[in-house]
Amino acid sequence: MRIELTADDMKQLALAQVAQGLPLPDGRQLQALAEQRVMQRILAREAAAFGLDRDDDVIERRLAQKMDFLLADLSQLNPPTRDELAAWYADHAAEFTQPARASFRHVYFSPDGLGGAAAEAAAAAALPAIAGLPASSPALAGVGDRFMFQDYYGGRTAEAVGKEFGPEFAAAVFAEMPGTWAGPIRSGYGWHLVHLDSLEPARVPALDEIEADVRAAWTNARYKEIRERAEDDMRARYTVVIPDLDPADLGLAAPRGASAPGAGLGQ
Amino acid sequence: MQHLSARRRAALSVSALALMLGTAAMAQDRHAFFGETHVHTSWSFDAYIFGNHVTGPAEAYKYAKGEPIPHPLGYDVKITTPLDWMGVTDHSEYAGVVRLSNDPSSPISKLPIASQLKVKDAADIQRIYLWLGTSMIEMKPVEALVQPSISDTVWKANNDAANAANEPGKFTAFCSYEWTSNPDFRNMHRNVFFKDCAKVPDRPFSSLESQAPEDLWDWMDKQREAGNELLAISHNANLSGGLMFPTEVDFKGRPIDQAWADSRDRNERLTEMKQIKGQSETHPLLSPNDEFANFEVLNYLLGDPQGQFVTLAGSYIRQALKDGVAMQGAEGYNPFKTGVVGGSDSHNTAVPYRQENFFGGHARLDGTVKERMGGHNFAGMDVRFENPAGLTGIWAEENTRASLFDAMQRKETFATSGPHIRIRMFGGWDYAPDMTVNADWVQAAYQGGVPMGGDLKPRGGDNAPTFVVEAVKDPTSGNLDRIQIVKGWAKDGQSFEKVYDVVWAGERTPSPVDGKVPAIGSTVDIANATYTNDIGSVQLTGTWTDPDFDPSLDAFYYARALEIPTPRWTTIQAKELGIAPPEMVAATVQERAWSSPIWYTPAGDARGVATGRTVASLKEGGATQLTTDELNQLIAGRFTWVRNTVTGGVYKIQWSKEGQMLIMNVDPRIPQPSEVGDIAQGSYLGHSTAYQIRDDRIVTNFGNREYDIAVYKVAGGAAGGAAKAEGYVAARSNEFGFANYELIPAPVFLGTEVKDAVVPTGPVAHP
Repeated sequence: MRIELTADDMKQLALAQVAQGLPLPDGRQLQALAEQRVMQRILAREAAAFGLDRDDDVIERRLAQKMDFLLADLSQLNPPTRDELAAWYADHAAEFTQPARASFRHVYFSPDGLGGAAAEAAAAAALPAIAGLPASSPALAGVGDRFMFQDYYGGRTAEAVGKEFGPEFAAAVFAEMPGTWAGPIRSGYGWHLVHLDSLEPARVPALDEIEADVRAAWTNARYKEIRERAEDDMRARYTVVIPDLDPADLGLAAPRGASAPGAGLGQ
Repeated sequence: MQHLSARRRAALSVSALALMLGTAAMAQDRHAFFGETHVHTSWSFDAYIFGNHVTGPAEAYKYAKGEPIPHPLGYDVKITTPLDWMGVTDHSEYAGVVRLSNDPSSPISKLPIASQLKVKDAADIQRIYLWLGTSMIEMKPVEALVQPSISDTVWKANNDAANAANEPGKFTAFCSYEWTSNPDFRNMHRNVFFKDCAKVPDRPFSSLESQAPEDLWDWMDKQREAGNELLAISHNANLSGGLMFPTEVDFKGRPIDQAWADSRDRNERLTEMKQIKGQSETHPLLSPNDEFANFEVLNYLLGDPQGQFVTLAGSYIRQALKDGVAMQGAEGYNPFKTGVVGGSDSHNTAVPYRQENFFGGHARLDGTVKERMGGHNFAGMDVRFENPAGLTGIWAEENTRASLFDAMQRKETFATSGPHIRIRMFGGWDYAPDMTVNADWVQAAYQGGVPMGGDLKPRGGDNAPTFVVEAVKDPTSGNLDRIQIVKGWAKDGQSFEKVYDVVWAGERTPSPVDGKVPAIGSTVDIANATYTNDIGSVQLTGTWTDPDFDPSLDAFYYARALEIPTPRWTTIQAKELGIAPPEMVAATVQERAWSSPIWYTPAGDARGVATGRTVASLKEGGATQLTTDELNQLIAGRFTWVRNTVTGGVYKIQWSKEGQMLIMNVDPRIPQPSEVGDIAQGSYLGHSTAYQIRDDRIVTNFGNREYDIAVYKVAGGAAGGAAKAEGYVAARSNEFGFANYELIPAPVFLGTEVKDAVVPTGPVAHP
């Protein structure tokens, strides 16, 4: 039986030490590291000969992970051509959609004081009076109640509007017709008349705008595909037997939070 | 229908006013940015052991931005309302080593020590946890695990994750970590936040280097000198066993002094009001007159030590603020001028902020509904006492590291119990009572006063300061019940508190007995775990001028907004399981927000000449301290009538020969000094406590701490502030050297308002 370290192996041993922030090993230290590595290999082979590598969870996970890295490398081997990427992007455009953005003005009717029903009624009653007004009309100043944040919101996503007003309000605003006053629409604060100035629809950017992101996504998808296929192929070569057991029949106690001193520390 | 209802009337030309004010609108443009100061991922040694193996800082930031991530038990969790900013605070101690030891691709897993950290079965969890945890408590670091080659890698990866998640203007990710000092099972943890990730040190200061906060502050001072701005946030004062806010000696046993106070103020700008493991605002026995103090109290010490339990003094923020103003008056410095934040302390990477979205905080130890509702005894803590995470609001110009950090430094921060409630508070001398009818009142408030976290500059005269407060509800949560102002003040070493209702929803009249606004009622259907917003307000705004202001006394003020009652998570999950809500926790809660305080410190001449007696002045005047024998003769088997010379309050103390004492005839209308418990209730119920006479002192107890009383005999006619007639004067050990109690003859009348009563003479039948 033969164990041979190459010059590259020696270089790696030295590098591993440097990478840990230690100085470059001198000649004697390098020999000692080499001797350790040789002994590690000998012990590993002897252990394998005894079958000690079987049923070791750490070794199994390590080997499984190496297989996984191998598959990940495979997915990088054949980068897509521009045409392949464009075709793939066309199929997956939905994943790259940039959300719609709304710009709107609103008039607020607070339930504080007379209650929610009165606020809704006041809003409904005010709608005809302002229906013909542009969103910038100074006449709006006398309508409704003072709102605690902004009267105008420009270019907001539904998520941002939802964060400020509650998600139901955001959904209702994004469903409005631009250029008209609509409502009453309910938010987490009360009732609103809303003038949707513009609704920039959700859009799929051109491939040129986000090519790097699309390439990364392609590689990731390819990796998943290769892994699934490889796992299916490999599993097909095995007969797998798993007992159908209820956890309660395993005869094990659930892990307990301990009451011994020291446990529960550092939470 | 609001208490101050003129609020909205004159609010017509909002945009016109804003245009006119134009350029000066900088301060007005401060927005509330909500975020997280305290969350652990699988990189924390204990989180990994609890079963959080998969998700790290990158996933924490994803979760904060609104993306679903896996709970350690495998199911997806999603935040109710995304956050504006976050700092992941994994423990600096053993950061990442457990995770990396279990990751065969890491260099650390190849070290010999790694084999001791591999988690293969349930027994390993216990073994590793005890091993690492005990090494931290005993300050014996495992050398192989604290090598720079390991910890530096993890710290760098943590900061890389923050940099990757940071999107200035949209989402801020801080470089931060938790310093995990836990001496003798007392929680002294601090989260450390850095202003600029480009300047962070090679490695954080860990509790393995020192468990003393003073050493952490020294290290922070050096960082700051090197141009690296940073601040610390103390948390879970409620679990600190009284160590978080000491008043006599520091962690190293040295007397607390000006230098200590300065160091704390320089470094520890903020403290955590509430998190998954309870609130640290106050305790019902520290604040017996605050009917909302009984909220998410957690009686627990980390590690569940045998023979040890919580200490009330030194463990709650309101008491620390009170001690701080008392020390300012008595000693000339205030170590506890802290702002407030909320946090989670979740060990799941993901954080539950809401009652309706509560998935626990400790991976497999509270991650399923049955485990939670079964009351899992998790290291001595019944997990039903856990509650959703707190949240921090910051009033800042923009959502960037610099802007948010500067606001944290000036303490313009607030805490909430979880919902995105916005709360504002300003204090000034010339605020008009109706100032909030103007749309630009915030602008005026900044110009004419100070925001939360600030100091009211003293101004001569007797005029009281005015405060303006506003709260706006979370659009996805309950309406608001009221805003209160909590005032604390001090005189002659005694500190006091009072909670004032300032503005409230609905038509409610303060009680003619105690002046408090009655409860708002409840819309909660407990069996169905639902509520409606048919009561309460969306927004509350008002001003308040302190009716009891004394310009010669140190004081602080903070605002507290309460939601209407809503179902607690245990009520919601009991409904899911079809069982009764547990009785050991409240079925409903009133979510809330707390502002950072505003302080008032009298200028030198306003403070006036001290009128109270001190122990030193008594001794100077020839008073002699009673011995053990003399004390026994004076009180054992007798009663004494006592007058508190600061408040004028009079009461009787019964001293049994068997060592039990009972305070009687307590008038609830007279404020009681700190750390005496609910003596008005105890007086009514006849609830006695133990006392001892030894070492020339009367030794009493409150909240697991000893309070000694020394009694002095004062000769008749003594000068220099001492009593004129012969008598006895007493000093309680937590009153900073003042002797504020005197023995008096039994009073004929006990009332305080009727002054000219006379008992008719003549024969009376014995009752």
